[in-house]
Amino acid sequence: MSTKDETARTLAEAHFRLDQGITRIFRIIEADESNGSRPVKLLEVNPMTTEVGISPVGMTADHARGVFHSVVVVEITPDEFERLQRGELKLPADWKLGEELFPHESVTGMAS
Amino acid sequence: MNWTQAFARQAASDLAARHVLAAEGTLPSCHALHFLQMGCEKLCKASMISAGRDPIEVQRSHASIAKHLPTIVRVYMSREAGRLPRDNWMVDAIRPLARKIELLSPAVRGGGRSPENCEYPWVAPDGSITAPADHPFEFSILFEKAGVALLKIIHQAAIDLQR
Repeated sequence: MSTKDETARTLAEAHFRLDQGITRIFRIIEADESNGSRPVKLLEVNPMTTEVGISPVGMTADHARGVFHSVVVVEITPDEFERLQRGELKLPADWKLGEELFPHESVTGMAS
Repeated sequence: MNWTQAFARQAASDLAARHVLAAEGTLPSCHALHFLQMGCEKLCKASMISAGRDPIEVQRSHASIAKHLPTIVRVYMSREAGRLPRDNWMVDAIRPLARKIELLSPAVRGGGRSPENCEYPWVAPDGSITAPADHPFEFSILFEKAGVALLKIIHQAAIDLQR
């Protein structure tokens, strides 16, 4: 069974590969982040998305298909990301921006 | 049943209705498109509630299909059996497709450029009044790039969110 960290890295890798509009991906963490029943949360910066502010979408876990954690994604534009960093936009609840996840070299190579 | 499951259940039912209406050749295409748009909107709302949004607030608001559907598809594709998919053309194709579906709603008018919708009559640029039932929508999900894949993914996502 994958850990939340492994799931987050796998998802980020796949999202960089699937959508070459994505420029940056960050973990979103909460106070109870070590709780495995809480979702893996990613913030994705993508100039291709529409600007509606912070609007998370989620998908449930599916143990039968080897997906052990529910997933939440917040997709925002680079401009919205700057506003988030300036504090003009807020993440919901006690969510905080966590570590940045980077694409594997092969993904970077594909995108170039 | 919780709110996520209830929205997903209704989304799945809307999509099933789309399937029946699309197969019925005697009906205007607006009806199948209407259920496609409604199913996609409810799926987006189910996913937003699943992510922690207030169900009552989500119920009252308009869900942006153009914004949320590509994200749902990407999440769904990326988690399939833990593989790293290479079909990135599909996500690229789904973004404009999601915008087309969003524009079928009368609440979304594309900045006034798209009065056509699949639910209510509208005034055309030449001043004539048109009913959706008489409008030749140049949009069939089955003939759009990635359209079939999108249908399969949103149908499965609506089932998964009911768990």
